[in-house]
Amino acid sequence: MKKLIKDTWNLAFRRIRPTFRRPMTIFMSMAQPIIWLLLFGNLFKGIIQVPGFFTDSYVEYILPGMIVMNTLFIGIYTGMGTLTDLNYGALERFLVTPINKIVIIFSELVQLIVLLLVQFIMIMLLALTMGARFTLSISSIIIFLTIPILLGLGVSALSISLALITRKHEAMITALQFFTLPLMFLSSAFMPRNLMPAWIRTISIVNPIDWAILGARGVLSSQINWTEVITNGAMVLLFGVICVLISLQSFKKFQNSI
Amino acid sequence: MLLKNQNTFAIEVNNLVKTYKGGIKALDGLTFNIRSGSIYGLLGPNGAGKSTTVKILTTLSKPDSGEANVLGIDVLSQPDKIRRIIGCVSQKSGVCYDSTGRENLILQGQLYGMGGKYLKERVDELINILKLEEAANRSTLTYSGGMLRKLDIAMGIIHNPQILFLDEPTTGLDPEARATLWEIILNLSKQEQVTILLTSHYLDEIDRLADRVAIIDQGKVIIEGSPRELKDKLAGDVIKIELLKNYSNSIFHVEDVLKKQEGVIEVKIKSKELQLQVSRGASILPNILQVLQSLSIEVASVEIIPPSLDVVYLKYTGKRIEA
Repeated sequence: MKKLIKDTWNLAFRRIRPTFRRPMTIFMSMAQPIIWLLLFGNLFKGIIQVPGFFTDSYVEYILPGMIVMNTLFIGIYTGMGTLTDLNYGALERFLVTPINKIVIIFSELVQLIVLLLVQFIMIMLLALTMGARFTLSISSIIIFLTIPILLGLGVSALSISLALITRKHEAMITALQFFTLPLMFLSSAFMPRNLMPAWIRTISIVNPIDWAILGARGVLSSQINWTEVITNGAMVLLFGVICVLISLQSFKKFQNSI
Repeated sequence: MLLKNQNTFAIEVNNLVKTYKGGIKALDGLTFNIRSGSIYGLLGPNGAGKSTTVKILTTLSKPDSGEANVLGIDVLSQPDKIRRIIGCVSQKSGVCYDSTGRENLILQGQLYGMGGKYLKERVDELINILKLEEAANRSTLTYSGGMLRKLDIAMGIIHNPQILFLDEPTTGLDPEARATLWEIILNLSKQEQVTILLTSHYLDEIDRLADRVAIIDQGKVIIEGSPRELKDKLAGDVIKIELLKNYSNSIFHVEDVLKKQEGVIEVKIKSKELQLQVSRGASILPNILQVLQSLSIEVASVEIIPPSLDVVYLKYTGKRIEA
């Protein structure tokens, strides 16, 4: 167990180190959600006047969605690292060493968690300077960060699976990018469910992205509806676990194909 | 069990069969044994099954049937034990490109459970042995092909494995880098008694490094022996003798006499040049020179040309080696 954790961290660290050596990559990779937060947040400032919007600030409203969007956009690229390892032979090298195979997948997830945590803090600071205000307890901060990260783990596990199955950069990225943006609009990221057209509302109910957004937004409100937070959180957790299981299965399949 | 194997075979491969998806038969009853401390060469055309063999022995891949032991440990049932005792340098580099050479080495050591001062010293030692001092703290993106290969080998042996697999270690390198790597490989075998399985495209490499060689084609060993033995099975060496002058009158007599000497297979004469096809050049040469002297024929120069593995390869696989 101790070696498992050590190996996971060591393998994750090899990815974390270069990222922090070039801090610009941390900013660049979160450019999209920040631009959305700045532009959308300001452009649709007045939208909260619409009856049915129960919030004082639109920036505050879309913040959970932007946090989730960031995990999505970062998460879908996780498989790229796996592909590089596969193509350059590092993956085979790791497979010959005496480490548990799940370490290889887990290390990718750990490096993602580290990166996301750093980016979340920056997005939160930005939101604060834009006028968003929340009263957060320690436990609600943890939940607020955990739920999007769980979604990110699921997405990146899927990305790894796709990398191992398709073994092609283009195929993988095209497939994932095709889904991300539409799924954002099929969630309550920009508009609450009660203001959506009926068909979008139906889709949003089965959209894991919306579970994460609702769960995270839940802890931001002054009166936390814990049933809503826990239900959505649990569903995201389930999604994450299933995706990780799928990725472990794809990894097994990949090993059998060597 | 282990003790027995120290004196006999480090690697035993018996009747391996492996079929890939789509019915491509990579291995078709492959069998060979490798003596402890020796360098064993696997030579064969592309798709002959060399890499598949290495993948099975390094636990990356599983055969459909057959057995494989490394130091008496079953590769199929105890892959975890195998991974601790082997090192592997595969065809693809395997370096993490966004790290430095030193960082790559440290990570590799950590994966083998090494750490602390011991790991640090081992890394320094390897950097020193492989002459990577100057590049060790640079990103591996800046490395040349030869430097990457050296780093690969350093990573492969960081945990002092008793068995090392080298899958085409010098492919694509310039002659100078190849010569350096050859020296490193020979040192590992001769000084540290590492048993090495080497696959290669290059006949000169196998000839230079391997104690024994198996030529494999379509997943089977076609012929096995020391490079010397394999070459002897062909017509042997060629002795080229340059004469001081043209002995046009007596030359046919010379031809007859030489043909009768033991070990001489064929004699060709071209004005001032004699070409003898013999079984073992070095042992026959003194006798030949004596015969020539007794016939009062003066010799200007002598050269023994050993047969090349090229010819052996061509003979047994029916293919030319593709460089």
